[in-house]
Amino acid sequence: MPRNKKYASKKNKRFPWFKLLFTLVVILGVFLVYLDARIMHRFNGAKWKLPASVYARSLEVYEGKSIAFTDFIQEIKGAGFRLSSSGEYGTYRVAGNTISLVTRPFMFWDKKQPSLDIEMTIADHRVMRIKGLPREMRGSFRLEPIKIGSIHPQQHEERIVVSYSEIPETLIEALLATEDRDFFRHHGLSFKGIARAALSNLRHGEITQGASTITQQLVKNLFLTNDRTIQRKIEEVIMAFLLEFRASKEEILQTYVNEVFVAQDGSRAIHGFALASEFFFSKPLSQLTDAQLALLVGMMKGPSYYNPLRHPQRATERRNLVLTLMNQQGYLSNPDYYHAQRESLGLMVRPDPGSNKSYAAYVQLVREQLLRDYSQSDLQTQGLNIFTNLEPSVQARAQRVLNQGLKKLERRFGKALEEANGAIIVANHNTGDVEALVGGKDFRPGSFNRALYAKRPIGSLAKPAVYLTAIEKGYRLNDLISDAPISLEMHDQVWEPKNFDRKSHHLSNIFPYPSQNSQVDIPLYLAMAKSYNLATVRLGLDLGVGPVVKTFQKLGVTSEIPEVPSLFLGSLELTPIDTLQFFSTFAANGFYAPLKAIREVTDSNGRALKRYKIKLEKRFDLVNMHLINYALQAVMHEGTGRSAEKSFPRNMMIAGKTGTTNDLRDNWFAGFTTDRTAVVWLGRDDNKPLPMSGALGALPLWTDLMSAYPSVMGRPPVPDDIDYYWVDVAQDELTEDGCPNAVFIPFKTDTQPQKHSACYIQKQSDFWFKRWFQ
Amino acid sequence: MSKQLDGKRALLVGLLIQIFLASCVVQPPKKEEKPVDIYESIRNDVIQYRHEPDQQRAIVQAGSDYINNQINQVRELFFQKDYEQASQLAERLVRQAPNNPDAYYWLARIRLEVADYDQASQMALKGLSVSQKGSNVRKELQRVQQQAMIGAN
Repeated sequence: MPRNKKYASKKNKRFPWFKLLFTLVVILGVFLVYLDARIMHRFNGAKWKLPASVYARSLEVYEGKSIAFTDFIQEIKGAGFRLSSSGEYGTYRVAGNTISLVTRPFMFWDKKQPSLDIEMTIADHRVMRIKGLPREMRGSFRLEPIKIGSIHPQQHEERIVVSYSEIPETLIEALLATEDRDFFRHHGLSFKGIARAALSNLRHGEITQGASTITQQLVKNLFLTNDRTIQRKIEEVIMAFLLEFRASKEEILQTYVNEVFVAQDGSRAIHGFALASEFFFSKPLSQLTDAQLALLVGMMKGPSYYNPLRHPQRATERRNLVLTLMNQQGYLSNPDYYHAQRESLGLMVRPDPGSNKSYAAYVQLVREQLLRDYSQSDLQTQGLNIFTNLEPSVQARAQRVLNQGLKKLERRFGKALEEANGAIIVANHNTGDVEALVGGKDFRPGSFNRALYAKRPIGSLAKPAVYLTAIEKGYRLNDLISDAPISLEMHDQVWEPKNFDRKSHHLSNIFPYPSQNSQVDIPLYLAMAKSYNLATVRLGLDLGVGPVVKTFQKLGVTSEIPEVPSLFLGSLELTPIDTLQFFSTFAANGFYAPLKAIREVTDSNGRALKRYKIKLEKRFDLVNMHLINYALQAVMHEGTGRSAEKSFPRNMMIAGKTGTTNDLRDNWFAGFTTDRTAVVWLGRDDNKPLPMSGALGALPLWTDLMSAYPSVMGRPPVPDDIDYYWVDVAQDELTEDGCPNAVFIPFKTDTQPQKHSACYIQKQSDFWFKRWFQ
Repeated sequence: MSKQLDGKRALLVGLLIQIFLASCVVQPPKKEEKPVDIYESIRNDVIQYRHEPDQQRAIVQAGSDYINNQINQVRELFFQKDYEQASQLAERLVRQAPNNPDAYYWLARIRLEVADYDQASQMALKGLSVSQKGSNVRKELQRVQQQAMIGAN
């Protein structure tokens, strides 16, 4: 055999170690690159899905601000303040009418407000004095807003992310003492730790100590599962090495502090020490004592097993073990150690403020409006902060008014009210801010939100649009219109509208009028105040359906409007929020301000992303609005809303309109004061009738809600082209001031009657004008 | 004689004591309540509307020092050309004092500066709707509104 051939066969028989090794190295390399890519993807991008936090408006406090003492206390309680004289962040104490409070630092949409130590006095529903404000704050401060909800993905994890500099040193020491004493020396894996754990476990005959470093634990939490397999362990070790190679020790520790799971609060998983601190102690991480930090660190071994709420004894023992380890390793001096061990757990649980059910309906509106500008995924993962217009005290009262009001009505009208439900929605008509929204009685997340989605006929709430159209066409408030019966033939059917009392009216029916000419029709403003259907239909027919439709559109109705005469009596179907939109235009004297729930949006770092500015559009002439709003005020003084009058101060402007639909299926009241408009709707989801009208159902609820809030007294200025006169409406003549047979009404300049007549001196005790002018 | 006088005097004193006691026990008749005149507020308001000081009084209710302070801050921010902050503050002012024409005036000027002519005009119109006839702010609002109209065209 030739030498070469022998050599060749030997060579062929040799196992290809090199190739195998090479292949393995390549595979390992690819695997490492893959793991590295996973690590870097997570570390360089957003580490967590942060739900959007939704806040109520923040209360601005200054000397002279009008607020009741109890409302202020409710406000600070809602914002998580607790009664304590410790002087810690988020605490308050009360002495007489003086409140001392220490606010938490808070990142508002425009700037950060530091913690403030303030003493303020509230008397006569007014902030009288504020002490302790830094000069640069110019006499006012903002209360941290109440968190009213969050928009989170299905897996409901919440955390407050803190930076490394915000982590208390004691927390780091407690972690090192308990979890990984060589953290700053090892490279992801601690051989010393493994040896120590093995010895300890051998000594105890069971697994008492783990050997995983903080880096390994972080890798497991972020990238791996809890499976106890060799493969998972190998991946964990490799990734820990890679992570140590790629990230600094500070970055790793910061991520660990924010990632770790600490407790479960209902459906909410509390991650990170910062949120855990707020949840268990109602204060920020920086304010925790050594013992409280030790408790949180101790809980990590078994968040459920060592939960201090369920197992205080167990949690105390675990906390004390952490304190002992800290003392043994020189992190805690003996006096501090003995003091911390004697400390009570000091729990002050602050449940998820966003879980308050009464805000759920409002948050639904917020979400709807946000989705116009942000994707669902952004809302669920980017940690946006949404600052809204919700007024917590108005919201709470509106929900209470609906719940209690329906119960009262049930007691009065019986079982027919059992199935009744309703909605209330309140806005500042000057800005379009939606301040409160109640979606139904005892509303809870997932319930049908009637304020947003219940589309129902608006009944007599449509009448102001008809009368406004008339005024725009030149009608005067004292012009007389007939309330005689009428029948219309439409599509081979006869429509015969009726008044609520099934009667036809003229002036002498309503008032024992002493004038010879008493068999006259009804003055325009009174026909609306008394909500006469026949007069309205006659007026509407005179105006035409088209112009009334246009008025509705100008008022802010965007949905389809049926072009039929029944529109005059409210066959138009609207949701309560749409109704509020068009009624707000009346309240704002013809200025249309789109309703909005959101004021500002900031990102997770507090940088402003979007501001929802106040937008206005003048849609009606001021003079015409002044005239129609006079008629809407007359509703409250002479018409169907009269029962509400006595609940308000005499110099407070109130205006509104009742609404009841066919067979009493829908029960409405929409009304306003100088700065607020509210709509109340009552009805049944199955559309069956209720046993009362809007004046007996929705109006008392509206009154109960609106009379609780001090409004700007007096009325807005009278437009230049408006003048008030005493007028005998039956004769269309001016009279002397205070004449018993006259009314005091506004006129567009030069449209007032030109003739003058004398007063009727005749005395009649039940003469309604007389009662007013005495 | 003197005995008779003493008796009369005693009777007189007794009578006076009785009258005094009775006046203490018997409450004076209640003042008849004035019937409610619901038009009074309208009449008074009409008079008030014409006077700017009365409008100022309404602002006092919302804490006039604070409101004035806020207006000054808006003005400062405006002249520092910090329109974003000035706008935020002016909007806060509108929320606190919705009938204060100054708030709308500054909002109108801010919108004008950022070339949002439509809203500048609308804010000026709103300010005009709550301002008093003949007031300085009204003249200023009219001027801003005209500028906004020119800008829009």
